[in-house]
Amino acid sequence: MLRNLCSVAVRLGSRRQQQLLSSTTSGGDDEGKRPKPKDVIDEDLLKAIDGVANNIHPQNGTEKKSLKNTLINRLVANEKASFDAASASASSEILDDQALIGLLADVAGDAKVERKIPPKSAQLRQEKRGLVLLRKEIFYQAVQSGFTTEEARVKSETIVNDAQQKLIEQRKALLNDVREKAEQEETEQTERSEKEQKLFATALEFMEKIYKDDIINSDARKPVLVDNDAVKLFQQRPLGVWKKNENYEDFSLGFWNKWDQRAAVIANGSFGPTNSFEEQIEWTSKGKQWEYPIDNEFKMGDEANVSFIDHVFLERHLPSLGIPKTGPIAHFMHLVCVGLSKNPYMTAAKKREHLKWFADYFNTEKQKLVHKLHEQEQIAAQNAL
Amino acid sequence: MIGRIGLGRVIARNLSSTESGIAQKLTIQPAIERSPTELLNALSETVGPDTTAPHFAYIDDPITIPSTQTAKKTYFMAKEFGKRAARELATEWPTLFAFDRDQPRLPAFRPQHLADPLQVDPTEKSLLSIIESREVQDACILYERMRSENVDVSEKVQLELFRLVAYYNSSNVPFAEWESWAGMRNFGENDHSVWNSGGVADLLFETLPKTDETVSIMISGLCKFSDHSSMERARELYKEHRAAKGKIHREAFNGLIGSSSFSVARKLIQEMAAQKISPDVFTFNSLLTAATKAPKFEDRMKAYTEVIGEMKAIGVEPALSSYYIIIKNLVDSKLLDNEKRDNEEKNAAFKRQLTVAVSWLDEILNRISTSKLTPVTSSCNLFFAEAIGLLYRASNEKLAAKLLSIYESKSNGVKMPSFTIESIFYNRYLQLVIEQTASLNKIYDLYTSMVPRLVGVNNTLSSLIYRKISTSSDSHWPLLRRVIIDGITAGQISGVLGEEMRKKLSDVQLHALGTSEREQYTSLVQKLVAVWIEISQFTEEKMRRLQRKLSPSQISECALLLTRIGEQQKAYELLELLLDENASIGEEATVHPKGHARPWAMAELFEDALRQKDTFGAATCLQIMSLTANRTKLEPLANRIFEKCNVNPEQRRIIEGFVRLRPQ
Repeated sequence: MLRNLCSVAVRLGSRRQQQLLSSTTSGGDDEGKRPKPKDVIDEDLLKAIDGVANNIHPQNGTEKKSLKNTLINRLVANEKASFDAASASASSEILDDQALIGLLADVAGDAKVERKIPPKSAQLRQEKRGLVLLRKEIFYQAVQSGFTTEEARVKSETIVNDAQQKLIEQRKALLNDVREKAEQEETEQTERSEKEQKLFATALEFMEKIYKDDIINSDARKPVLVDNDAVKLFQQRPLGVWKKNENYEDFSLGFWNKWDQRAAVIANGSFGPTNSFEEQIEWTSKGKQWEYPIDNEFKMGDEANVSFIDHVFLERHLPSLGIPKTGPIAHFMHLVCVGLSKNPYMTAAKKREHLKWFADYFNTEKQKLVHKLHEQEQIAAQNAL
Repeated sequence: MIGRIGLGRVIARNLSSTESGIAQKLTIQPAIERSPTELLNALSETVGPDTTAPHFAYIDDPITIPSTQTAKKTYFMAKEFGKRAARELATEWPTLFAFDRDQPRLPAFRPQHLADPLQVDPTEKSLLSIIESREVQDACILYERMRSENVDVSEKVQLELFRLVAYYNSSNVPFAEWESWAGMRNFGENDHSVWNSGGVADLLFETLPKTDETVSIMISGLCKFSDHSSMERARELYKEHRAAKGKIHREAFNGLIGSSSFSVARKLIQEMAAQKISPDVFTFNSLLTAATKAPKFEDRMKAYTEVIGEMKAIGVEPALSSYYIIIKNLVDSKLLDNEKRDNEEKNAAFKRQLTVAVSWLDEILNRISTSKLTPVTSSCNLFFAEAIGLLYRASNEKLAAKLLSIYESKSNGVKMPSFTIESIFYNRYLQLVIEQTASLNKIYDLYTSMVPRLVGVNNTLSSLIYRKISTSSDSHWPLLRRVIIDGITAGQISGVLGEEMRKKLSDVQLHALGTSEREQYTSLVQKLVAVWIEISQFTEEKMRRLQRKLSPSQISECALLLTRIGEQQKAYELLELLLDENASIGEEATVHPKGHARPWAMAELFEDALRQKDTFGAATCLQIMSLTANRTKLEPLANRIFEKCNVNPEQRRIIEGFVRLRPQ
């Protein structure tokens, strides 16, 4: 424990010196050693500070000056701490200095904490400091979003000013309990391009953070209810151009209407299937899946029109082919027909071709020969007994 | 029991059929012909989408399920582009996929390149097949090639081509009409194009004879892709054709009406009626569009009611897009901006107009709730989004709920695109309910049913809920936990909302939570702190882009949360960072050099250390507090350490010396 305490004491000592140093710096006594504001802060920011000072104290010259000095002092300190590297190499990646965002959050946090002890001037200073930092942040983000430096400078100023105005209005509105976020969004959308809108949103978000103390959690807005005495939509007089009892011609281009309908159906298609059945419907309609009910005749081609009778009952073709009704050939052909009827890989036409080949083979000469051979066999068999 | 009754019935039925079988002939009904997808449709309608899972497109590895709008878009597009790339490969190198002995052979798995208009035979047949596939620019190229090669194109084919190029303005089919690629259809953006002057359409129009049809097509095309000059031309064409005793088709009238003022539009419909041409819903939509141009609210109101009255009189049912036009344009656009309503008069006017709009919407909802809704035009689905926007503005929760029930009913066939407009719709509804309701339970139920499946997690929504939780007298741990967990997946923890999370977590009354809830609290705090620390340690070159350094205020809050869950050691390890100069200096820095520890958090930590009689902890707190406080403030704190903790004389001397050395 003692060791701990001692080590704490050693650290405390070193920290103390630093504190003292920093307090002298922030006191502003040591003007000579400090770098000039212009060396540290870029012109854009100085202009922005001018803008802020003008905005806040348009008439009062001394206040404007003191505010400017305060802002510049603050920024010089900030620059020294975290932005030296950033300004040295002006790459966009470094421009997006997360330190700044962290700093902004801290400033905002500080602003909130200080609510408990509210010296008006200190609060005002915090807000101004936040504004300057915010301008810078918006400027960097604008650069990142693809605006040129000059555009970004103008944008950062106008957007932050707008946002400030908006927030002041918003605070007023809040106090009057008439805050309507949706309306703001709507009008903003029409007024600003998407890129600007994004920056504006960021600005407003930060602003809300800085001025958080003032944002009162208003109660829910009062609903606008249906007025039964209002003019009815469906119960008014018609234009009276078309008469119900007259006949009119459907004089349409046809294709135009059909294509509009097609577009309507496609636009209504959302993002494709919402369950696996819908996915299967899509596959079926695109021909990627066998159609229900599943059978093994899917896309059979020409064979789909051939009856199983033609495949199975083949013996009925034999008489017309001149095959004898009895005897060994008849017996053999019967076996051929049975074999063919069981073959699922051969078309019916091919089977008939087979039969035809056999019929050609067993011509009259062959029939006689077979008959003779058969008789000889029979005699030989009898003799063998 | 039931089985016995069932069996009894079967037997009775069999007996009766046997008895009457002699007199009646048994007929077997022929099978009902079903289309291949009917069975699937029936199953799909019965099952519906799974409301407990993410959208079907995202059902995959759970770790990849997106929860924010941006992540959803990225995921969906990545999937879609992957599919397109695969298809392109299969088209380009079919031999690589030559192991294709499937029977039956399915052409869907063998994509083919489209016919190249510069390579195909310059014949009418090729041209017709390209027209058939709606490849507008290819068709134009082939047509021009055929002309340069002096190949005759018949009038019929020219007319076919003219239809296509006039409808699509000689450009390819816009993304909105891409049938098979939902991502491009919904996320792709086409510039609003104006009429392509001097293009193939103009060339064909000059070549083809001026019939009713060709003139009508031309006028329709000019009005569909209108700018000032194309509208002039369309009106000119109409006048010329009328002078030549011609008669234009309904679609051409629709185009002209839609881009005219309401008074001119009225004249045009009178001409339509005089020529005995019947109107359709598109005609009335154009008329409503013309009515939106009236600057005064009363004039617009009168025009809308008249048009709707006319539709009712002749029996044309308004489409949802008709209501969309009315709802969108009824209230003066100038009054929509809070800032522009700078006086009482304007506020009153706005309220009056909003009341009329809400009343009309109520009438519309009553009317459509009983009918089956089908898409008639492309903008039908926008009605729901516009209506919820209006109801949000009017904060009318009751009507919003009615609108939602109509949208979700089975009779509604008009659906908004899920991840774009529908998400906005549900987001608005959710925000309205959150704003209007006082019950955190209701908010929790609705939130869990909608986020992130229907509504992407977003900063506005999360901060709205945080605000609601802080204003509410009750506490609701499950809601807070859910919002924080959603916030983690949506990457909110490093921003302003991260601070909000810490604040809300430190506001939680641990003793009011149950055992399992306390465990949840513990693991959530552990997880959050671990993530914050991990993100702060991305000091390597390639990771630095993602680094978020710990700020002193963040450290103090995290330490407080850790002591709450009994992880004092970790808390003090974290607090040590504030006293370690190396932690905030150089490339390896993990702590932000600016800012201060939160006084309230430090005060609580200090008290906690005193309770535990932890001299080391109390001394650390004192040291951190000394960074912002002066001697006067520190002295009482030091005295409390002496009172509460067992401090030996040497320790006492060190602490006293330390406090004495602080500035006054």
